[in-house]
Amino acid sequence: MSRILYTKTHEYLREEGSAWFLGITDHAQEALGDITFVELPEAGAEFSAGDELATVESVKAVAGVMAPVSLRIIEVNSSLEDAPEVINSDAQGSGWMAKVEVMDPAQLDSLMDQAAYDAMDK
Amino acid sequence: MAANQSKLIFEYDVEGRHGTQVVGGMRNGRVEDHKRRLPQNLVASERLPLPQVGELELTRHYVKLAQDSFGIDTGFYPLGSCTMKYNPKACERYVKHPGFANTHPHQPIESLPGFLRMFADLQDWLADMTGMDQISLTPAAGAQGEFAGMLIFKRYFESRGEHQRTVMIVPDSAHGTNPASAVLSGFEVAEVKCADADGIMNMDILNAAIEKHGAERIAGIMLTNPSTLGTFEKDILAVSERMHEIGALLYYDGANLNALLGIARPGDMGFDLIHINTHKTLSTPHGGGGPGSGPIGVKQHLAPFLPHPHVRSTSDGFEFYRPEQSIGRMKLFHGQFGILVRAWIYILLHGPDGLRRISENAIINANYLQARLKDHYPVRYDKWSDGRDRYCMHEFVASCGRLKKEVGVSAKDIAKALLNSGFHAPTTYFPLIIEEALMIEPTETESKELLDSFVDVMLGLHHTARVDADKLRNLDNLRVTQLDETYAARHIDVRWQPEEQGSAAAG
Amino acid sequence: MTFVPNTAAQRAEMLKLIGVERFEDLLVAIPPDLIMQRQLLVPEAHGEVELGRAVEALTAQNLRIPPGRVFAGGGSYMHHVPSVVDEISSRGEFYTAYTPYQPEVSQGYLQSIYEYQSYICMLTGMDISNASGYDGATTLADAVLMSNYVHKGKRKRVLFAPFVNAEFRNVVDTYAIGMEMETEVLSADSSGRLTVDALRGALSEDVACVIFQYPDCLGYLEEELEQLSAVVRESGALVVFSFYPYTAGLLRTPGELGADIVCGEAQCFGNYVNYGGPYCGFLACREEFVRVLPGRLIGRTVCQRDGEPGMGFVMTLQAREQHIRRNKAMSNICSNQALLALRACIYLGSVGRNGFRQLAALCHANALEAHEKLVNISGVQDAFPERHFFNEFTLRFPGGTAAAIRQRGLQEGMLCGIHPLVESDGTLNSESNAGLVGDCLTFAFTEIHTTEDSDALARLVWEVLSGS
Repeated sequence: MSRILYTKTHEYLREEGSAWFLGITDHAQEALGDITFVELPEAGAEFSAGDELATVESVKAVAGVMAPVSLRIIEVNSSLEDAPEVINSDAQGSGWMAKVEVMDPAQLDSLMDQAAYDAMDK
Repeated sequence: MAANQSKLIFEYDVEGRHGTQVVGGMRNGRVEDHKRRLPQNLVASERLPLPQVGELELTRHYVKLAQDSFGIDTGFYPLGSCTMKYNPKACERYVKHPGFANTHPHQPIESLPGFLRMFADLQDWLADMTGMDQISLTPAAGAQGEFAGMLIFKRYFESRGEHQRTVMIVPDSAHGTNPASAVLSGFEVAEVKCADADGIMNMDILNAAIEKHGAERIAGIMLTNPSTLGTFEKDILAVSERMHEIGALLYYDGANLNALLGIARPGDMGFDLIHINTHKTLSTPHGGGGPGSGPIGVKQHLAPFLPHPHVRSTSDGFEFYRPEQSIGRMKLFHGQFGILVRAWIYILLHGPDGLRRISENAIINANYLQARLKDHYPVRYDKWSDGRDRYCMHEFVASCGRLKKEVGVSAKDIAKALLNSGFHAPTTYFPLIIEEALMIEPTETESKELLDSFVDVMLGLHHTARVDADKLRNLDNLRVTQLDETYAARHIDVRWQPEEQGSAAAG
Repeated sequence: MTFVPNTAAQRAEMLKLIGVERFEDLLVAIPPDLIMQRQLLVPEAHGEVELGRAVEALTAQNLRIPPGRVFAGGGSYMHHVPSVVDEISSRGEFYTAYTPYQPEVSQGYLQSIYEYQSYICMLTGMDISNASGYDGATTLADAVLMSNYVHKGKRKRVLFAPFVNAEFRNVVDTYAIGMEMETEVLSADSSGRLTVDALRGALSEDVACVIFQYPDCLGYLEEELEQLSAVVRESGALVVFSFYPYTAGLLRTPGELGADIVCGEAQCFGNYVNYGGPYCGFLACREEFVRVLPGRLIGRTVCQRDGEPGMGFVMTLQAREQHIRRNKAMSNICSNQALLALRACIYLGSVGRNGFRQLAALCHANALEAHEKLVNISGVQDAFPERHFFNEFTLRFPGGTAAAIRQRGLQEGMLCGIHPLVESDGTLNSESNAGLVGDCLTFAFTEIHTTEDSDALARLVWEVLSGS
């Protein structure tokens, strides 16, 4: 099973090979409701931990997606632009938003693992 | 025609049918050959697909659309924060006077002393009602008044060399336009939480914000009073004293001024700048979303920055002028003139006693509804933190939180059920700090009998929710239901196009 | 007089239920020092009789110019308002409605705005129109805001083509304060035109958009708009048109000429000139910019109608707006001019495509007729004789006489044109191209003007110039 880490603001990072996949958690998609639009960053862009790198809109809410750690965007899941509902159906799988390179792996230590995220008061 | 929908005006189109005859035939005959005086590369090759519809069909179409709409004239409209009160017919009648309606904005003001007088009257009256030194009538709406106000703050600090004052404090219960206006003017918003205290601003919250951002960086605070919860900001004098002590300014959002006419004035509370929503307090019609009007008022130290044009008195009357360090023009010409005429009429109709009676009755009506509903729809802030009873001003925020938790019935369900009962719904899910909020503002123009019948329905719905929640959700007296907003956002369809029905419009 | 229905007895009963003795007991949270101890300083209450007299007395102080003797435009046009527009829009279901946040009981109003958006798209040649904004100048400022967002704040210069209405430019300048954008007016050549070379020279990588007024504020139609637009687009900047939509009865739409964003005034469609407000600004764009379009948008969607699947209307893409996005919203706007947009809808439906074309042609014909009479008067010069106009044109008068013509007009109950450099409140406006229009007046004509009207204007001009 691949390693998956979470933030308090409901983003996840899932490790696959040397890369990490970033998205919003299943809990976050449920809280937002039917997602209607996603604004994704450009490949190559760099963000510091805590920067807003994308936004997710539902009918009556909008949420910023924060960089869990300092990172560089390798690739974005542009299929979400036409089918944002995939985030609702599979947030932590095919609903990933960006494939990223983690700039400073030490920052990963500040994130939560599955057990800690499940235990978090949401 | 597309499946099962109300017919669009475009679908009545029949080539050869003629609409309203604007000019007589004898003048129409001579126009065709002038086409050659236009640049050929700009001349359109086809007519636009506007529909050819007879005047009777047109009338029936829009009368039907009127019947499928809801106004104050239709029924009770208890939308909190919106002040949906009766729009006097006299205002509508007299604003149509050709002396107003047919005056071109480029007619020199020297030939319009009556209008200057009206502007000056309104400026004086609004200044007295709010306790401000000067009023500018030009902003187009409340949100534009906020924007003008924020720009004035910005220019004021620049004029004093205090460029570092970029932080605007906004409470979490504020209307969304407040933070948006601040950002549009180049400020950074510091949202502060009032939800955990009494729901209003207090000195602990304020001092914490000042400490956090630094006294020298704070430009101001945006408050509405009564607050969005319908509560008077009881610590307002201490708040304004502290803000002025650190060199910052106070902005008053006039959204809730309907509670204060002849009772208390934002100017006396220490506010430096205010806006007034004429479409709330002065009952100019909401018009389905506009036009509104958002005059602003300032204390003297901000007067040099007021928008252009401004009206001032001269030795023999009044004149337009451009204040020395004006932020500039907010909109075309001289403000929302037709709306200002209505506001002028509204004040004349009421007089000093009448204006005070507006606020007295708005407050009594709201407290009456709150008292009768709060056992069933709890009001989070119905006591002060020291345990004293707390009255609301012109509105209050009830909650369906308990119903939601216990039987799964939400504020949205109650709102829809009310619509089914012939009442408009209250404002729901605002302010954001109250769960399952139902924000109710009855206004002064509703009678006790009407309020009682509203209470009966609300209590009945509460009962139904508890015994048979599904029945409440499945009321269907409305012709149109289950409008799918998600579908609308994912399949953007915001205009009719001729291809929908095969164009009858070419040529 | 008030509209409070409750009697003193009812108030007493209500206070008792609330649990207080007197009204003042409800005000305990207000610091006593703040409670007003005097009456407001406003006139005593008027009944309808006194009100009628007050209105008559006020308007009687003014010079009343008959509509047919108003020969001025400048962003506000004296078109006829058909009776059907007034009668229908006066229905209380429309004008006493709030924003249609509850779509189930607002289908009618929502549909009218959808129809309005459709009309605006036709007239502008754009894909998406919002539900309207304050006026043509604030929607122009919105267009600049959009350009700023599209370029993510990296392009900070805004270029105005020559002769964009000064009041429109001033409003953009006000909005630019907050956006920290710089505006500048491009220079015209001796015929008042912007050349492709001049435009190329002014463009750079920091230009967010270029604004063209169509027709310009002198009334002229730029024949090379298509080429100019293409040059702007090549540079990566957006093409914004401030547009008088009545021209669409005869002329190609801004969309066909290369515009990305089109804005302007729908006042000309069934709304009175009303001494300048309220008006109805429209704002439309190409589909790719929908996410940065400020203001309300009404969409058609699926629903249940009489228990069957059907179509209905809702406010859509609300997540762009301030009530959801708060400090990250595209704009702070939270209204539209729904009632005036409704009037525009009724107007366009009432005249139809054939009537609209005829009326537009009549505006043009009336302007041509007046132009011919005026330029034949000795001393009157066409400001730019080789240029074309729709219903507004500019003439040059011998030194000092332009002001005399305006003054004489007021004495005789006529509004004789607008000085291109003077704003509606009388402020003198300076701009780089001012030298070209020093002694000029700009005149506007619509379908309401008759041969007698333009004769009266020509006679007055002749009298002033001949000294009689």
